[in-house]
Amino acid sequence: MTDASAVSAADLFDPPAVRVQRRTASSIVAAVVSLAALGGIASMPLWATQGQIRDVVELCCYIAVAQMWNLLAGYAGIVSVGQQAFVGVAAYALFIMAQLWGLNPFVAVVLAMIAPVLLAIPTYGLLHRLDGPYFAIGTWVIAEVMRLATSVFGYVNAGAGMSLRVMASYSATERAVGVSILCALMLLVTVGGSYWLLRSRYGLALIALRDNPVAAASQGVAVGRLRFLIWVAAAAGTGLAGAIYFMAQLRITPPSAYDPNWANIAIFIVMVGGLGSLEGVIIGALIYFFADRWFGEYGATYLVVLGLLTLFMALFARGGIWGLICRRVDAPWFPTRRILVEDKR
Amino acid sequence: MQWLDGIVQGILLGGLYAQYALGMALMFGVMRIVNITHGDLMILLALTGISIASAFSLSPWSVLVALVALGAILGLLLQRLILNRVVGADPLPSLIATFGLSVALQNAMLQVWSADTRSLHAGGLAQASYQFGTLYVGVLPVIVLVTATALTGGLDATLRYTRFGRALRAASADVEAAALTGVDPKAAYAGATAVAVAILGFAAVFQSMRATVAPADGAFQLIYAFEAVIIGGMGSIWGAFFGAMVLGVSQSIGFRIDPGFGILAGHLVFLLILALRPQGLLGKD
Amino acid sequence: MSDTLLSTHGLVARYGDFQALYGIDFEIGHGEVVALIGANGAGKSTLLKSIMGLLRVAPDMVRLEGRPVGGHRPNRMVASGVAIVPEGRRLFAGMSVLDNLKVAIDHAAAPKGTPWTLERVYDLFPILRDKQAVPVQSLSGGQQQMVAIARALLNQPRLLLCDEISLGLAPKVVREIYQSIPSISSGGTAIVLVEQDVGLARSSSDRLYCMLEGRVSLTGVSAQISREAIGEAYFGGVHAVA
Repeated sequence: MTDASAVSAADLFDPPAVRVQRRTASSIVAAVVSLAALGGIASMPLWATQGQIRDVVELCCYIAVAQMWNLLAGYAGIVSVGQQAFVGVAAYALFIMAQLWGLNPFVAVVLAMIAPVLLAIPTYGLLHRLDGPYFAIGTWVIAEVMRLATSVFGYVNAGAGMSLRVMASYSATERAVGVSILCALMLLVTVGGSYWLLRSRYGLALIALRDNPVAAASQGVAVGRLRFLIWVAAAAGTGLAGAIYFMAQLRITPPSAYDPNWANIAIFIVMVGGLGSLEGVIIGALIYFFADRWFGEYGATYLVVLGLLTLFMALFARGGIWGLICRRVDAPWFPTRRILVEDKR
Repeated sequence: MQWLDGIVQGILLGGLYAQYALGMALMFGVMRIVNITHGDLMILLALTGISIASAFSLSPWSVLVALVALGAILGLLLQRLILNRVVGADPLPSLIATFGLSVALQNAMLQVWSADTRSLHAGGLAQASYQFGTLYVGVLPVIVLVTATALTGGLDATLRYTRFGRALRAASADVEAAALTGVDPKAAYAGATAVAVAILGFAAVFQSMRATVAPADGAFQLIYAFEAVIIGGMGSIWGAFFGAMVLGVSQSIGFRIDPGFGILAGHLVFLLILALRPQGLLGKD
Repeated sequence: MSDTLLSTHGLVARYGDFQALYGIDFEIGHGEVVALIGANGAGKSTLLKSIMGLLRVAPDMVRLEGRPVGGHRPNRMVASGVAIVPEGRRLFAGMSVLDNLKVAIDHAAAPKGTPWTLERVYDLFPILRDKQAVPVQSLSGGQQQMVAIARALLNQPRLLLCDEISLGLAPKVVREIYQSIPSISSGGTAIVLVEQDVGLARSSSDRLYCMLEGRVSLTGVSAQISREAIGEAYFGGVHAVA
């Protein structure tokens, strides 16, 4: 483990007896639980029913999409209400590669991440000219353009949508194994990747960016470049979730692929769970998932409550539920702070 | 001829879009806030108008008066209860708060009015038209355009020449300095929001007379307003007006190329202008 | 002290966790000119901000003619007759000189004594009369400072707070601006001058306060305080020789 590394900058002087410590008791427990969960997800075909697998896949996609939104809003200071653009474009890329080009669909899911990246680069180039709140609406326009363009694009069967019939050539077990492993990989890439990023050299820059972009820029953080990289990475992660989700659905249409509800879900999960923390996303995703199961039948009324809850969180509890928990107990699951500890000699 | 017709119809459509865009330009100019419920509030006003018109058999013009007044009240409430708490340099709180409210509002309207499309009965006005050679121009769309022009001119003059307008411009230039000169920022913000939503009262009546409204339509109106503002140039009232014309004409021409291409053409022109002239057609620097 | 216009009592102010002022007792009488000097970061601007209600303070910490006004919002302070020429001028960019001034006229306090009119401020700074239709951002620094002072005067203040009005201006322009001080105070308006230039502060004020690290380190009648005493109060005792 390289969690604790000695401060080495002070070689010329008497080395101070401090270490940077980043591990806590709670984080060790969380790491073990996370690894177990990943293993559990990857091995679902051994223990879960078809229905349970479908549920877990859905939950994992929510977590991934929400975490990518969290990376944007919670760290890079970018608010997007058009993440469905990346969900849809990656899902369509999967359908094109697997159904029309005959690629192995499980390989195509991974390759499909190229599409959102290709979309994200020019999108950023255009939208970064817009002031903060206008950037957000701009992302929505991009998603609408993708939906409308797909609806008139004959190659992907326009508004009628496509079916992933190639999946029929695999047995139910093969499909379950493939989807489960992909899900575990997705969480590893999106949540694990975010955690890695936040603890890396870039993490400090990102946290500085979150706290004060102007000060971060004056401290030598290349704010523009960092924002761009996060934007592209978040597009790729969001796209991966979209591809896996629609692989499990087996069917895609422009309105379902570019459904604004993806943005609703991401925003709800992050705002309720806790902006700017990995723990919050997991809490928020679980809440959303079960709320959807239990109250989804109330349809519009349920969505009214969801919307008002998001509003309430934005007004009164910006740290979300995780923020409220943190005020009481200091036990991070995924610590990104650096704690200076004095060595007892 | 078909193209001339496309341009004329597009400009008339732009009259409607200008009525969505003015309020957004005003609110962004003064508070740097984008209210995501902008379109939903218009739909809420329109559906309310349609309901009261049929309940009390009111004429569209009485509905207009009622909706403008109701819009002003809704704007004040929105500012008091929500926007005052989230206005600031960070765009996230205001976006998320109004985003959440938008989801709630859309679904609440779905509960009350169901997903059906509705419209306001315009009497003989709906069919009346002027004829210029082979070109037919509807009377109602012309009224909409004239109203939009009057609203734009009125708003611009208010900002230029009145005490209220000066306070708004001062607050938008430097809100702290404005407060130090005696302007009450909260009152200025409340006034701006009230005016912005009151203008939506006009848009609501005309939208429901010209076409139809349904609870989920708000998102589209928000996007059209936004595109008009950016095309025209941020912070300019007349810019929003001309941006709305450009958007209307783009959609109208696009629609004549292929009915499925109309809305998309508007978006593409928006993206093109963002690429080539990011400060907008009337924007400076 | 029936003649006191505004006073602060044990005023403390903080920016987040950082405490900037530690119990300031300050007072100014009707029509008086008081200078506020001190090194950068001593807390002069913070004191003005606290008085104007830009920073949170307890009601009793600031009194205007004996009434507690601490924490009143800035626009309320303006309405009660306290105006400020803010540091860095803070004019309304994009608006003409005249419109900048009209904002103040629109939101002026009820005048006591001869009211300030456009005519009177144009007499004070004649150049502004010619420039009234010009957007403020195209004026020179000195002209902008004149607009800022004129704007504050048109708020009809009984107390005018001037935050570093000589900063960044040529000596000739500074002189021109400071020449207006006596004609402002002769109308009964009290003035607080926050000033970096100690000599200028001393010569244009009745009394002065020197601040050091968030506290008042010296106060007295301007003409009677020695340079040495000011030097010591300005830099702190240990710095007296160096």
